[in-house]
Amino acid sequence: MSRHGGNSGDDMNGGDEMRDERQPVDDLAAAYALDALTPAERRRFEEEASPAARLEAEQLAETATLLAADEVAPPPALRASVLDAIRAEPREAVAAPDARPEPDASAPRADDDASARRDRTSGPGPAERRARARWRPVRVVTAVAASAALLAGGIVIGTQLGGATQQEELGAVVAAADAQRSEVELSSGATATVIWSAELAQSVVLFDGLEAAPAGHEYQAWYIDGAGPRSAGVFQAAGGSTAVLLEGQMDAGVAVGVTVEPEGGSEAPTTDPFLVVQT
Amino acid sequence: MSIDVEQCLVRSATGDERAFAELYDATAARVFGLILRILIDRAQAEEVAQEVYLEAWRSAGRFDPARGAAISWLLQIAHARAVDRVRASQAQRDRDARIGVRDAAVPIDDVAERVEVSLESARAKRALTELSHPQREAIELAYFGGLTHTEIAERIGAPLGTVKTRLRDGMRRLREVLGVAT
Repeated sequence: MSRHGGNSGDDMNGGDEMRDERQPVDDLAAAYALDALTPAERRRFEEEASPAARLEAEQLAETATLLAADEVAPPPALRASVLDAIRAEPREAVAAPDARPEPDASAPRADDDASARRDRTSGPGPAERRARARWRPVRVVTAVAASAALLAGGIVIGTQLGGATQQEELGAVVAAADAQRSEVELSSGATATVIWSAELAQSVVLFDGLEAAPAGHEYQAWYIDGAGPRSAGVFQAAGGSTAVLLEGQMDAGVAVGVTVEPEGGSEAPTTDPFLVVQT
Repeated sequence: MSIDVEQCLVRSATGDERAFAELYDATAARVFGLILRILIDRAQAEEVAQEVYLEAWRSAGRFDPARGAAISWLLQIAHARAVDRVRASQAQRDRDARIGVRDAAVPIDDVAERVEVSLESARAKRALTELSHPQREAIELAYFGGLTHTEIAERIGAPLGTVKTRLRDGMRRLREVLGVAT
């Protein structure tokens, strides 16, 4: 039995290139656990490995999932789409391997997530093409500067993080032993996660889905305490993921706020903050 | 985790859609985080995440709570599907084009520059530093890069047997350091 929920159809398409190697098949346990085998090798392991090697593969596969620790909130439309798809799925039917959900034009659709279903099940719709168009340029622009971040976490660092030093500082805050975090869903549907370290006196805000500020405007972060708001730097966003290391020292107990301000930033907030998190 | 994810998955096997929705809410960020990290492309990651949850719904009856955590079961499906996708030729070409620069530009052991997004990932990162550099490199190329062990050997110019040994010893060490899944 495959350790995955179902055998994928491409298992049958692999070559036999590894048969000639005469390797003890049990040696493949770790590679099997990491999905680092070709379909033919995988099948061979499943058929020929000793029970001990199969048990080890199962254990190591579980260990490997501990590496998958990054959390990225998927768009809300995905939830509606998934729940819609399972409702359309006959419970008893044994689906062909790798079968995709077929949009069923004749079935009644729930009004609330009909649009989400359209976007997800009938190929790239307008919304999806928009999403791609929005995402790509950002990634290209930041691919070099933020390459380390991408490698580690799938996070695109916004253009405001120019240097390796800032990335290091950002990483240090997130990985600090005393780091605390607070996640907030914004009214726009984007999510913001504020992470701060009292020891380092610094904080970071990770946005998922924060769109660009209106033309001629930027986002500005603030540390807010009894004395009022103090600028913690301006930054831009372009949808997708944005990571911001706030400027200046974070004093214990301050609130972190973000507003939309004219380009270049303001001395004091001129709009209501769309994000406020108490540290 | 405040809800019993294992129970949600077990109940899903009986057709309980509400339980499945709870399962989704409790796991989606981590499942999506993994898929996104492997595929890089957000639109593709969303498609694969949808496939993963549909597969989980279909095969929930095969989940055995005695054999592991539900999140681990889900992440294994997610990893397999994301890797399938990344190996599909077009996706691979797209991905290579986008991140070729990345792999070339980033020394794999330059951990100081990495950005992590959670305490859990900081823990995983620390555990990875317990490994030798060659072990860590091989595991990361496999798990996050989606490469087969043969491709890893070609990429780093080492014999296949060496790569197998690095994967095996590295994963065993990781299991000692990290313990079992939570």
